Amino acid sequence: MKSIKFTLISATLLLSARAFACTNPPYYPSEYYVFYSYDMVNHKKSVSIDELSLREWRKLVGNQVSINDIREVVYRYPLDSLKILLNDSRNKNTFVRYILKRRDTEIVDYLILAKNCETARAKRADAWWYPTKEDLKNTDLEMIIEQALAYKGKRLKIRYLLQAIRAAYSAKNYDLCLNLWEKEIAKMPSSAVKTMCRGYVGGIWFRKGDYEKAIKYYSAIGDMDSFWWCADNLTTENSDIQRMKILYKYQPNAPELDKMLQQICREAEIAANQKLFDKNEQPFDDMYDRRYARYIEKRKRFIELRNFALQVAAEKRTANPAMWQYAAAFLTFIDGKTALAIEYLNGAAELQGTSYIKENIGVLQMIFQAYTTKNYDSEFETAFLPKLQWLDQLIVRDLDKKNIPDDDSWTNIKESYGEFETIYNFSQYYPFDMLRKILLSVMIPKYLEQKNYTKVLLLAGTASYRLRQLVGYKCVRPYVGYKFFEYWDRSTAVFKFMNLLPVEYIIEYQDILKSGGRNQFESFFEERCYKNYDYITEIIGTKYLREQQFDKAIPYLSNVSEKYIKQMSVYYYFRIDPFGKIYKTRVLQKPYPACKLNYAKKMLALQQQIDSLSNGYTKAQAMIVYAVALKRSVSEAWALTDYSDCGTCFDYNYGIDINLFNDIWRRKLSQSVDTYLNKAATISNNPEIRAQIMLARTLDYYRPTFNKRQFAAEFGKTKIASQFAAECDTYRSYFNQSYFPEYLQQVWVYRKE
Amino acid sequence: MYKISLFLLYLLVLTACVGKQNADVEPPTAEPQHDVGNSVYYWKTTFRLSDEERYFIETHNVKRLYLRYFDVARNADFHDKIIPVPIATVKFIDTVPSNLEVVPVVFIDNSLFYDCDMNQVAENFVKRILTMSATNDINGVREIQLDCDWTKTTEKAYFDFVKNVRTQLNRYTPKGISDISLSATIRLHQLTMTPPPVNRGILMCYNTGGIRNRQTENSILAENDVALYAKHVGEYALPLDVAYPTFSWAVWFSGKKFQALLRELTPDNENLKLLNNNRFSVISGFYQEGKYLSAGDEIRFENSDFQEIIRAKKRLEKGLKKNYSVILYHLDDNNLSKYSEDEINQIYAH
Repeated sequence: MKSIKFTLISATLLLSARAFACTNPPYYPSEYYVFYSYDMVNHKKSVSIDELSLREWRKLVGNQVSINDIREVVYRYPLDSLKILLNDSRNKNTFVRYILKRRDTEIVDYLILAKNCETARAKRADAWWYPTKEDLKNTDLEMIIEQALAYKGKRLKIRYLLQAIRAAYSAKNYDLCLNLWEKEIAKMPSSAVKTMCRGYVGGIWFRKGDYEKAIKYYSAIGDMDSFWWCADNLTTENSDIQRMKILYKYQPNAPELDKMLQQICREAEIAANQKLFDKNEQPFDDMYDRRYARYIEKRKRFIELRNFALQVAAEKRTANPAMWQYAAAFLTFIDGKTALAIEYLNGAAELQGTSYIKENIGVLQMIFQAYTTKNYDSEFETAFLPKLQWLDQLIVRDLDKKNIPDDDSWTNIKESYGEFETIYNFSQYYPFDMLRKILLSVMIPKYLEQKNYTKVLLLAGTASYRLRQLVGYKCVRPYVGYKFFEYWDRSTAVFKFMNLLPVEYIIEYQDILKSGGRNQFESFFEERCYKNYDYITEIIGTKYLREQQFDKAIPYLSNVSEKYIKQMSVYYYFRIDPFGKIYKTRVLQKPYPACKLNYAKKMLALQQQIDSLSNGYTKAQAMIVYAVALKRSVSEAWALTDYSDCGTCFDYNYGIDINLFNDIWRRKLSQSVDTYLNKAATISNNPEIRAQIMLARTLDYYRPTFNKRQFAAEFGKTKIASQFAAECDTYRSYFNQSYFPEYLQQVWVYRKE
Repeated sequence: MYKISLFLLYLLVLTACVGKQNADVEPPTAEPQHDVGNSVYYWKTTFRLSDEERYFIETHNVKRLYLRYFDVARNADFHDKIIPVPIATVKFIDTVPSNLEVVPVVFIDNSLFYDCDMNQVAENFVKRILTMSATNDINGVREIQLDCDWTKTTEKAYFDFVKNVRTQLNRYTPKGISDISLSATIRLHQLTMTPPPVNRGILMCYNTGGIRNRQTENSILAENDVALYAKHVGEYALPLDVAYPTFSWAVWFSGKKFQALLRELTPDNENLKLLNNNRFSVISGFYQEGKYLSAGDEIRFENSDFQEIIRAKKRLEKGLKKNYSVILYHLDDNNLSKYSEDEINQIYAH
């Protein structure tokens, strides 16, 4: 449940506009938000003013009285209970006990007055209340004011003044309120009760229409609801940036500013980051362009925010100018001016700022460096490695952090990590998101351009596996997936690249995983990659099957454990015998672990037979069997060469379209089938061979191109045709139509066999 | 003897039960004192009579003022539960002339009867009306009017509320003061429905057409619309007074869809161009009553045409009893100045 809750929130954090029926929404790594200015995890929840007031009560009466007991008496006791408080000797409430022990009538009198004041005000606050003539005289409120002002003591002075202000405010005696504030309360030391009084003074200025004065009072007490009421009256411009400007004017360090800044930067980021990070993406709809169009539409607004952010950073009224300069740098980058963005960001790193912002600046600097470096050579790798190590340390550090503070039902990433977190690219937590974004969306495209495929695999391996490694996640269903069931082994970025890149790079990748990196940069990644050798070896063997290099496939496939093969989700599809009868679309067999290996062995034997035989008929026969098995390995028996039967079906783990690689081996394999069948036809003119070639050429699920009438007319007298007729009712009907009645007898002989 | 005693006891119990039932559900029985006379609605949020309005009251011998006290509308409490609250309470700047009988009127949003138990506010409702009257020196209130566009679906809830208001009125009316009667507004279409449990009905002879329909010629009053329902007036189970309109407004359509009513827009606005009859097109965008009207929007000006009122009146008079009052909606010198004194007299005359 916790995991689901976390996943849902994570999903909403990433506002992908992509929508798919029946599946969770997938994301590209490019969509991880980079800009964070609001430190949600470390944000301290402010204590309510009522709570602070209770603490002041406690200070007054001593620590032996519990806050809860004070709350009970002050906020919940009805007037009748307060009136008999001094006679309530059986009461166990520690605050009451305190009062009883000292016969503290001063407190009791105050509580009764406060309760009367509350009652009088509550009556007037009721929506259905309408003043009677007596109410219009405010006699009740006037009495409260009189009593409150009559108090001459010091201990509860400010509390009595608060009641006087409250009553006077309800009686609309605003002059009295302002005088009490100016002459008495304003001079008193800061306290929760003084803050409460300040709120009423703000309210009076608001009612008088002096919003400039009112907003200052509301700012001082952090009453943001009232603050915004005033702010809306201070500007005719209805824009969030304008509101930010007003908030900054009065509260340059308001936490709301961090939130608002993040919100608008996010808006720019959603619109533009795919444009920046997925340059090669081939979008399957126009969402990509539409998003960017939204950025262009609102560019003026983002530039206004950038300019404001630069102004704030320069003015240094805020304690966190680095945050503003960081925002300016980010918005400049989004706007496509990378050099200027780097300049701003380097400036931000020098400014005063919280450690949270400083870290985020470091991350953005990493992105900028990876993004702007044209050639990823050893010099770059050496310079970049310490930064990657730093980011990785943040990943480890934040592993135990709660996702959301102040909520016990929320968990940390260790507890909430599940099967689909990486597969669907769900946002995990900031440092890990950024590692994935840097590796998958910035660095891998560069290494692909440089054809440095081993590095691609190392980076993809780390992006896919690092978090699993840290949380010690054990896959519930470690299947190699099929169709849309995107299980981990099949659906990660590293699998995608292993599946697509030439086999020699997978071998090199495995060698590095086994023997360690050849330098520090490789070692950093090697240590963070998935090291399931059955998994990688099986893929290498399979890739050799695709290449028809059966001699090379055999040693790899021989080294994969039976246990691993049996838990592959494609195992079930080993039930198709690639060497089944030629006229049958599918010949079923019981799946067995050595299916791929036996296929490789038989194909190797056939290859050798074809090379060594000189007899035209036998050689042609071998060629046909070979070609048919080859053809089946990409059709009915696809599980021999692939991990899904949908070829280039949806796969979102990696944003860039690299499916182009996918069809190369398929095309080569189909060409081989043609080549072998053509050769067989040229070396033997035997009708049996010709009949088998015709069957092989039309071999398909439903044989849509197979002309039974033509086959019966041309090859009806062959042995293979008789076998076919014996096993296929439809085909046999052509015999029944008396084309070749003399062969019917023979057909029946085969059927009996 | 024993059997007779038992029978008497049975009768006693039966009588008591019937009596109790009557107390709970008071059917509209004998009509309390209700003087026939010229009347007018006052429907603004501030009670301040202009000289022209005072003159109107005097000249036309207006005896009764149906004064809207407040509306009951929807609001949400802290738990997002829908609650009924009074809004737009009339603010008294002037004192109500003592020679006028005041009938407090409260408009109730019909949707509240779907969403909440209105009976819970019946007591507050009555207390508020009585307090408002007392505080503002409105003495001798003999009638309270409920204005609600109830439907078949909300009929039961509305009628229950009316009964509850009756009970609360009995409870809070000061002893020695004669009973305060209840009246309710009756829309034309409601003439075919069960009457509410009140003493009188005020037949609203306005808003007869579909205001949101672009094809409607005049939604305020059309004789044809009145004719459809006029035959039900005679057989209606409640005594009726009739209210006729004397107001006008502009109906704003944009993209063929109804947008809002504009009460201050006039046909001589320079941004409008006449299309036909009472329809105008906006030729240049402009702000009106806080709303922006775009070029191409359509305005339908509607008013309460004197001749149309008289024709509707004749239709209705056939079914009405003699002792009914005519009420004009509403007291506003801008609107009333469009009619001659004679025309007003003709509307009032019966």
